[in-house]
Amino acid sequence: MLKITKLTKIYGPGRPALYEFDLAIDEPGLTAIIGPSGAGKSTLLRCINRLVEPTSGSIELDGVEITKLKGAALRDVRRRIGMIFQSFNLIDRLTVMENVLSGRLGYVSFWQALTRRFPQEDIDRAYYLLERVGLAHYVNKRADALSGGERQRVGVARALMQDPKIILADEPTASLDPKTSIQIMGFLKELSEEFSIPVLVNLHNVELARRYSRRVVGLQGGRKVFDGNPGALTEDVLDAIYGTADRDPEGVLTLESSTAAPSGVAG
Amino acid sequence: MKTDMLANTGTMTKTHTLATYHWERYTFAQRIGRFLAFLAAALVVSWALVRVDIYWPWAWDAPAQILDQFQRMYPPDWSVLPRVLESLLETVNIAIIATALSVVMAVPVAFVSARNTTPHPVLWWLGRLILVATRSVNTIVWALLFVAIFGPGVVAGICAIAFRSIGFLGKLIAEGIEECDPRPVEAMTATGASRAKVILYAIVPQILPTFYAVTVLRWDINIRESTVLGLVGAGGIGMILSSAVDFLAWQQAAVILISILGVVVLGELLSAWLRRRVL
Repeated sequence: MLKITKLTKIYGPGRPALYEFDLAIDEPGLTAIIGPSGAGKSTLLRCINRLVEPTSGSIELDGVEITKLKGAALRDVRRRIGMIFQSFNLIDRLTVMENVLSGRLGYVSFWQALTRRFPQEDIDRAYYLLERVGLAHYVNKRADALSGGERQRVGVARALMQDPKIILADEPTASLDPKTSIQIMGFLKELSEEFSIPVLVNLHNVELARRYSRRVVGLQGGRKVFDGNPGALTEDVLDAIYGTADRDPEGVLTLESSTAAPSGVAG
Repeated sequence: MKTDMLANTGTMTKTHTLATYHWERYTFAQRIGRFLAFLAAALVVSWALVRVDIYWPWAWDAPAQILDQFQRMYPPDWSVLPRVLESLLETVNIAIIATALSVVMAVPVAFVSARNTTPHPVLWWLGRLILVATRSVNTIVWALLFVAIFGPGVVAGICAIAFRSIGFLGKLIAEGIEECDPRPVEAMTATGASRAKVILYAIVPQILPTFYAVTVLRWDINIRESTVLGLVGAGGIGMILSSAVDFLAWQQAAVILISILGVVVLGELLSAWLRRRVL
């Protein structure tokens, strides 16, 4: 489904942000990408939907090479790639429903977008998704009136509106408190399975990666240093990803909520 | 505290504690420099006064003239009020039509002149040029130009105000566009939306409050601008003010001036209220 080969991104002189990165994803479910700040996690996701232009390498989505696409062809690929953002990136002054329907902008005409006359099946889908994330009673509320967790649920619904083949989630819980983070990760996992969509999720919280992902990819300095199931994330592996000095086994990597298993990192 | 300081710093403290502190905001050289700068400014002002041809007796008897003028204006001749009000309505209408026309022309220019929405760098320069050019020409100068094209009347006045307003509206709206939060733009781009749809959903909602506030503000300014258009024959209340002054009908002129003041105050109140509502 998604096949990345030797993907490299160089922003300027110095160390590449991403270097000869390989990854193939075929099944639905969550794939967590973990690594320290500046490891290239965001760059990787933004190369996949070409918000960032890769320097070299190849990205194939369902057998279509997307690194060279332009104009309408690029937009057609983008509309099948959902994205969820760390700061939600909603349109504050529009309603919840308008924000969710904006996921269909790649499909509807400019006139339909302007007059908000979306096809009935889009509206049905939007209602279904909003009910699914528990926000159906908020359809006409402005997005800036929502709490952080509610805003991210709108973000999730918007991504799923695109009828995506894959979803990219860039630190979806980094702006949220631990309890809301768990709720959002739960929604991502359930919806990923319900719609059979693979989700590529950047996380800085190892505990969340362990609990929700099917597979974990470790990035360090733009290179892949780990790729395996969450059970294989041993102390040594985490040292390889984060380096020993930066890590505080008591606090940083454990979930600060009582619901998290405190033995996670130690074991 | 004091003993600590003495103990720690040894011999140095002796001179410090004995000498009185000396502090000056400016050094001697700085004071000389400041004096010369003030002197130069004073020279420039006095040179201008000397060069300008002022007939001083007329300036000195101004207080008497002002008193005299008030006497000529009093009592105001309220019989002209219906005609004045009709003309005022025309003035306000000129401002409304001109503002509407100007918005239609300014919005495309604003999008072209904002760095984040311009289709091409060449168009960006062109947009900036339009904004600067329309703004740097005064309304009265535009009016003279359009009176020459359309002849005297309302059309020339409307065009004059509309053109002068493009630069004002366009510049402020373009600034609003450039200050937009880029994150919704990123999100809309990621959905596969075209450039036009990205602008429609990610940028337009963000600039709408600025757009309304700036338009109402300009309408308010345009009411004031349109009161003087008549002086060059471009319609509105200025026309009858001009003829009242020409015929030395000071009691009528008084009514006109009071009416203009009233309308400008009303416009300002309305505009302030509207702007509070949208922001």
